[in-house]
Amino acid sequence: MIRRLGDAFAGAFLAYVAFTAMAFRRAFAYRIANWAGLFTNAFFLFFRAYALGACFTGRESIGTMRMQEVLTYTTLSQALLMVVPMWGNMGLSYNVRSGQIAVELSRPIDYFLMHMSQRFGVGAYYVLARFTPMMIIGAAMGFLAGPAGGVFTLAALILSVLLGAWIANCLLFLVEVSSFWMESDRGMRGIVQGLSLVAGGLIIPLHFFPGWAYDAANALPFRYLSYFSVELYLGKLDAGATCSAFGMQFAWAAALTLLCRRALARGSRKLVIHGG
Amino acid sequence: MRLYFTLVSAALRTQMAYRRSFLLEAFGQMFAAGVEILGVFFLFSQISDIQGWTLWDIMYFYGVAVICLNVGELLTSGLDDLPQMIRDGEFDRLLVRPVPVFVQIFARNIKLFRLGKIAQGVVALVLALWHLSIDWNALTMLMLGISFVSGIVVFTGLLIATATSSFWTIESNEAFSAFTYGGVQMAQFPASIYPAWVRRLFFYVIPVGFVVYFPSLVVLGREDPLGFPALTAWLAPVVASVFAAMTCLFWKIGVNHYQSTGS
Repeated sequence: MIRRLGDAFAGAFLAYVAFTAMAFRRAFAYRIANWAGLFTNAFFLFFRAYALGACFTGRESIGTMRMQEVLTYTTLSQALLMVVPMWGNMGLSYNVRSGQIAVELSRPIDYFLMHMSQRFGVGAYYVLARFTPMMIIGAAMGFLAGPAGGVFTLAALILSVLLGAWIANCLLFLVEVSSFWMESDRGMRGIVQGLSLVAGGLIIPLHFFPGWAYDAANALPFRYLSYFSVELYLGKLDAGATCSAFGMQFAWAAALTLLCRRALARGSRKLVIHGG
Repeated sequence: MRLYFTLVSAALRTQMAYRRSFLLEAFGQMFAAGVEILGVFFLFSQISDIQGWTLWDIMYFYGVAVICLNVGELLTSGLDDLPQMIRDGEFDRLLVRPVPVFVQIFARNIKLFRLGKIAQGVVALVLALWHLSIDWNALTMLMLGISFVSGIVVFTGLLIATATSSFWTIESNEAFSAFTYGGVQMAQFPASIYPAWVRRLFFYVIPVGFVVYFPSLVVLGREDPLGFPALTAWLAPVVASVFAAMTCLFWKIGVNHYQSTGS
């Protein structure tokens, strides 16, 4: 299956690059909606920062994090929200329900890779349209502190975000692929979203979790969405911990990719058998 | 009124038709609705209070705010489709029917997620009341009622205003939503922890903070750290009514604008 994935990718490499570029350009059409969304994003940043910041009245640190670190965490996790997406409509559910999927799958392009390319194109847009402005706002409000470490940290950050985005889009793909078997994907969506919020450290930092919950969250892929990037930024992991964490992130990315492709293959076979 | 219930139960029955998928959907949506409260519990495993407010104080504010928002959402859930309906031209069909526009829109959608959120709010509130020693008398019970009614009115107004903005531009929905969902985020915590600009915005402009915070202080039997007199709580219904009147006016202006632009 890995070889087939490799073949599919190499055979149409330029096509996938084109998909990414097209999705990137198309996203610019929704500029106004983006400004409005940025406004909402910023509001949430303020309230979360103030609420979590207020927790530090009368204490130096909570769960090994100091106030400035927590404020940095809120900025970074809010800024990464659209780049490492938790919401999104890939159109796969719609295609399955409408039957359009049969047409889509018969194309000579790998469906999964096409979608991932498009999602990365959109993600790239949001790096410009959400991540950057949010980081600037966070810095202006005094929430955002600089990253710990130098060039290596930067490289590690970029890699962790890329992998995190890959994992996020795989999860979204899995949610939508469940449409082959269920009437509506809203159940799966609710579960994945809920877990992404809690175990992804988006409601409160994972470092605030009681011991058992912290261990549980670290066993799940959701930590590797955006929280791992936050940990790198804050310099919370030493060299050894960083390496093993990256190993886990790679492993999750690979496992979820295989799961997505398997599910799609199974689903489309089911379609054929049912005379779709 | 009877018409509204008929339409609502029809929508609910449609959703229940697909049993297995419904159960998964129910679980998934309830789960997504309930995770936020986990965060608060986990937070308080690390700290004992936030500027003097204990876990159960926070749960109280959280419960009231979440219940008010989501009851408002439930009441106006049909309006979620308004932007799309305007785009498709479906809104015109509603204007032609003899049933008041509001009633038709309200009945279109019932969402499980909303019920899950309301359940979460109720759980938070009940837990809080269980753990707090509240002096229950006529005043505190009245204030509890006032905070709910005023809160629901203000959130409903906000949601109507959000939908109304679609009559001008579809995208403005998001911007308005910032105030609604930002507002509930803000009101979930006692207003005294926020800096002045946040308090002013959510007391006097979008009074979500006002109607949740002041009556709750009376129920909890707490002195206001901000120094406002306890009588301020009585202004909550007034503030809510004024806000509601303004949003109704805004809606009327919106419908008129839509009709006059010759769709």
